[in-house]
Amino acid sequence: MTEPKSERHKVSLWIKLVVLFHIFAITVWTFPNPSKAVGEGKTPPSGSQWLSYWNQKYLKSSAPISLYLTTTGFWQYWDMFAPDPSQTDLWADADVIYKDGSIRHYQYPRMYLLSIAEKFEKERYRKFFERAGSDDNPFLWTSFALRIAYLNDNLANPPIEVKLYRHSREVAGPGMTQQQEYSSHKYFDYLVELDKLQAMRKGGL
Amino acid sequence: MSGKADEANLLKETARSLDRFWFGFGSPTAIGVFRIIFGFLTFLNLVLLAFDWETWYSERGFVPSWLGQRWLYPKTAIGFGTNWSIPRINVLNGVTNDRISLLVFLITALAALLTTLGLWTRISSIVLAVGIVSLHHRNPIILHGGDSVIRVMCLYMAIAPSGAACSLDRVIGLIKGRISGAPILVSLWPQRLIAYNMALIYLTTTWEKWGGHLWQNGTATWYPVRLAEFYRFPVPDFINQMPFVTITTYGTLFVEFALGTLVFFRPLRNYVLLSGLFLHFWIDYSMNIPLFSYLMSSMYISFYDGEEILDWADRLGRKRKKWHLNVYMPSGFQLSKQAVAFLESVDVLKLIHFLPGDREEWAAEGHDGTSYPLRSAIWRRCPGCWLLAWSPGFWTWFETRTLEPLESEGIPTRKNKRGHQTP
Repeated sequence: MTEPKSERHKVSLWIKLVVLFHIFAITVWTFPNPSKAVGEGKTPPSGSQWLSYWNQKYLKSSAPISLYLTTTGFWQYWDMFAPDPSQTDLWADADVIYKDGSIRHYQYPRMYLLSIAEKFEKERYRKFFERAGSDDNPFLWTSFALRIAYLNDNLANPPIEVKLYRHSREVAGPGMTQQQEYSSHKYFDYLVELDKLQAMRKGGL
Repeated sequence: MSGKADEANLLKETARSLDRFWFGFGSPTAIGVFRIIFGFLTFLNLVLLAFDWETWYSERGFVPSWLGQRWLYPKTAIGFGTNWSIPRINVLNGVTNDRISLLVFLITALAALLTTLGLWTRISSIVLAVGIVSLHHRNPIILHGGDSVIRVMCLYMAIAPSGAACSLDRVIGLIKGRISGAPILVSLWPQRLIAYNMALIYLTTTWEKWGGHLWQNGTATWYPVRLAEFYRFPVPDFINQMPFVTITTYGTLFVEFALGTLVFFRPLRNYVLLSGLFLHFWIDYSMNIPLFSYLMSSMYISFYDGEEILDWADRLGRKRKKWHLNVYMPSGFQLSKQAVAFLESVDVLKLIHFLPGDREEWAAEGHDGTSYPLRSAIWRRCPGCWLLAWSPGFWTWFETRTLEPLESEGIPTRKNKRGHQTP
């Protein structure tokens, strides 16, 4: 690193101010949130939660910061394996029911069954199902099922129904017996909207 | 009085140090190396996504355009007493034509490749940043931590002088004589932002983890390795059993905390970064989280000054005596100033020494006097022309246009810090 030698080697005050604002903005944005109860005002903050609570209430939600970070794409939040790592193994499959009553089983890409190269390529399927298989996001289910209908389409015998299944297994803690079997649960039954399927057939490059 | 004056001086000195750290000037080499590694990883990430482009970015995929917006917008009401949402950079906003979406995707991938090469870097890095931000805002539902790293770092690359070093822009500029070979100094604040943001990632994730009871009771690493969906390569069983799990749990917390704090303390920097590399190697080996570890590790370069990297390359070159090559120019000729500047920039390890020859044509000899074919011997030793050498006319240019008659004024032979050759 070199000392500024001339005017040419000095950073303007405006740039310095913008950089300082940026540092401040990303710092307050990435601060961990307080617990849900504290954040919603149901429980008063205590101890170190005060800082998180105050940050969330007054800084993080302030218009200049959220406007700047959200618009530009500098928004960020870092919670890899936090606050606790996932303890649930999760995968999906589906049954596609056709007009003539026949059923085809559809295996949504499952990382465990893939080769190393395929795991690299398909990891996003796992991430997507982490969200699309959650009861918190039911608005994702229709598109999920519709795509499966499209992937299993047959013009002569179109799919009329898609049943989505979620298979999960909890990892037991140290010293406890590990459950080997997955529990299966049908979490969404979709009656295929033929007009949407038709639109998908017409689409494409 | 004296105490107050000392305090004031201390404050002033601290402010000056901080100003020097954040806004000082230095070599752009570290940013250039970061651009190559990170640009390539971003390109690779887009290639992996390309296999399933239709699945993730078309209207026939799992996430049509409206669904991506639905995921984003309810969460970002701007306030001011209104219901309107924060606008986001997204050239794909409302686009339902798959051809346009594919075009944007391909342009972004091309921009990633050009940014890696450092070709038209200013434009290509801005296109890359806008493209990545748009793709992330088009389909935010498949994003993981590595994607957020890509988005944020691509934005930094767009505002940094990314093409000032280790780039085709510079090499071509030197060949064409558009820029001088004098060392460049750039303001280091973009590099500092990359380093600070990386530290922030580790620090906040450590803080977040400390709020989880599994991290506090020392059993957190017990769980991810038992998730079949994350399984990659086999690991000796004892590592995933107690008490090793406790060691890896607290070890992870400690290393991540150090990467967020102690890494700025120079005497500890190398040790902290090495432990971070080990942590990410282990994550990458044992768990299927594609590219994440590579993306995180690539940011470590931002903790080194460009001058340190140049010195390191210089030291490495000096130690590898077997790799050194003496190149004899045709009799009666010397290298032009332009050629010297070009060769300085492509011969990263300073392995080639250009000397006056007594023959009609060029000749190349190893340190032990063995003769080598000129072109391949130079090519192998100059990372800066690994790609350029394949362009038509490069070697003709090199063998004819880099020379000037000895009578003319100029630098007789290539400058060499170590003085391996004499004029």
